[in-house]
Amino acid sequence: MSINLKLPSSHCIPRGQPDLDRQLKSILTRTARYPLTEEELTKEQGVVDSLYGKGWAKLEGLLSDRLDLIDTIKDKLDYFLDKGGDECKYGLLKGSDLPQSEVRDKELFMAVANPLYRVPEIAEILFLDKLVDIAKGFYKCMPAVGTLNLRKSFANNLPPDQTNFYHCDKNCPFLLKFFIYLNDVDTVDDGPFTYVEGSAYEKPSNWMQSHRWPDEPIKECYGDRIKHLTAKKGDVLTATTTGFHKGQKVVSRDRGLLTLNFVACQEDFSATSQMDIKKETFLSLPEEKKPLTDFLYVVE
Amino acid sequence: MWSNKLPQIPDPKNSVSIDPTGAVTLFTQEDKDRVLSSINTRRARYGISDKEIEKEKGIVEKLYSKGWAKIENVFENKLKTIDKISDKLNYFLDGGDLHMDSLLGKQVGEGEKRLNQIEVREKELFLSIPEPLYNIPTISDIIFDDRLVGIAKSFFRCVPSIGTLNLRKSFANNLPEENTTLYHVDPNSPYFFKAFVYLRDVESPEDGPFTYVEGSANKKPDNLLSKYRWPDEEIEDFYGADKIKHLTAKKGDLVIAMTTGFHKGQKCRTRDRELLTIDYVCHPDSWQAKKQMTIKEDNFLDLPLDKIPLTDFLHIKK
Repeated sequence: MSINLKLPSSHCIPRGQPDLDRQLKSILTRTARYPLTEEELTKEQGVVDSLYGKGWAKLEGLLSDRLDLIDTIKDKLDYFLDKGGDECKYGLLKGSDLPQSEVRDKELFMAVANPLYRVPEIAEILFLDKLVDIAKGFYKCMPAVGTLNLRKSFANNLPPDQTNFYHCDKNCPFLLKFFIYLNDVDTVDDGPFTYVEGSAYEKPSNWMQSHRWPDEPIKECYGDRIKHLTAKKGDVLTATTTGFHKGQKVVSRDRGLLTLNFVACQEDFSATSQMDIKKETFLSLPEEKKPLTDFLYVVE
Repeated sequence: MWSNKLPQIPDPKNSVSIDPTGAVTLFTQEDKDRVLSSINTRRARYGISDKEIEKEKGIVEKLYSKGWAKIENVFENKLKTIDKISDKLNYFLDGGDLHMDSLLGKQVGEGEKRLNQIEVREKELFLSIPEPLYNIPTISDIIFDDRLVGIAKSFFRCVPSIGTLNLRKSFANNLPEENTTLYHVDPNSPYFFKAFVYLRDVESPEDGPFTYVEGSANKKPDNLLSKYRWPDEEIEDFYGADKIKHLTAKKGDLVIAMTTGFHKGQKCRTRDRELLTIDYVCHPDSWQAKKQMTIKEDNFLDLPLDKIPLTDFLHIKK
């Protein structure tokens, strides 16, 4: 068992050593600001070892006693998508304000803008001890919530585009995401999150040549390390998304997905992309969880 | 009640921002909203009483109307601290070992290109040292000073934070005016203020005082975006010579200003000027975590609990 932080090499980070140094500085700063015990840092060591090794882990049935909560989040997602407009974000049709019924055959996905504010029930998952402990073990310090995403990907015949292509997240040099499917994702056609095992720490020399990569060169480079991470509603997936990944194009049935970013520095090292948390949600948090909101605006 | 209201943030059309390409532009309504969100967030995060907010109301109202204020003898009990900072500044400018270089890139007096003040005093406007708070921890006696922090609380009507800092020595020489000795507007935020602490008396315009154009935080020329640095004549023509204030002050005094108004450092002609500048903010300078400066861990751990939030936008390093 090790409590050593495993950062990628500067080669695996888009802006190289300066950003790696900044990431480390942020971790050391949060270590000084919010001291944690070795016990707290190693509570979820098995999952962290898996993240450091493969880059992903699946937590089966973690939310199986909260399926009603997942349904509530899904219903709220549909509520906003049925309305459309500026409370929603669109994939291909930027600037559209149409409801999901009118775009589902010409759009890859729709998402709720500022989801933690509009769907405060998300907080019941976001601040779960288990997820926070994994993030603590991953960053070896008190983490913080970065941005979130609540989206529905439409089963249609559109060709793959955008996040359906392999890419490495560039928001942070070192980034941990949790994925919660809002419905079962049983097959490749259901559009699972797809991850290239070990790729956060091992990248080819030309990896920066393009942001989006088609399947062929990734298959050629990584072979059988491509994993389609199917899961049931109630499971939680986690991954280091600075490794190569994509959302497999949904073909057979719509996929609802909640994505939670945990960070140890501000995404893009900027406060402009910060999301909102409702003041009442913030105030209801126990004191020890408030540092998790350091990179969120608290809004009435 | 005054304390319940949000601060008066200047109209974005009177502000200057630098966009990611380096172009001079205006802040937007979205930026202004983000400032208000930051203030509301800090109010929710850190309790603050009406009494604390009201405490320095007079100074803040002066800042709103004129854009600057001078408070005499704020640091009269800290003159030795100021001398220590000055000694340490000169030690580093004479070539003394720095504990830490800056990540901010080009900054005079840094790394392999480090310059010695004896060699450059006739050919440089100024030298500054990187990461002043880390390299000279004594600075914390000034930046966390109760009175100064009290003013910042009243200005932001929330618990503020330290943004960036600057510690520099400007040389008395015959070089022409350039750089910050020309009028400009700071692009760090639509709403923030700077505190200026002279490490030696600055008694006349020839000593290089901080110079401010009164009322300019809320009034700008139509061609504001035509350039970043402005010559004296154009500023005087637009605002009138009577609005130009050379803010001379004694060691131990405090000068504060909303540097979203036009200002410059008057070129030093008679004697060198040593100046500590501190940005007080409610969000990271330019919303960029990349510009964050560093405080020593020992220094951070020594702070009383109520001052810890002032370090929110600083890195902490052993």
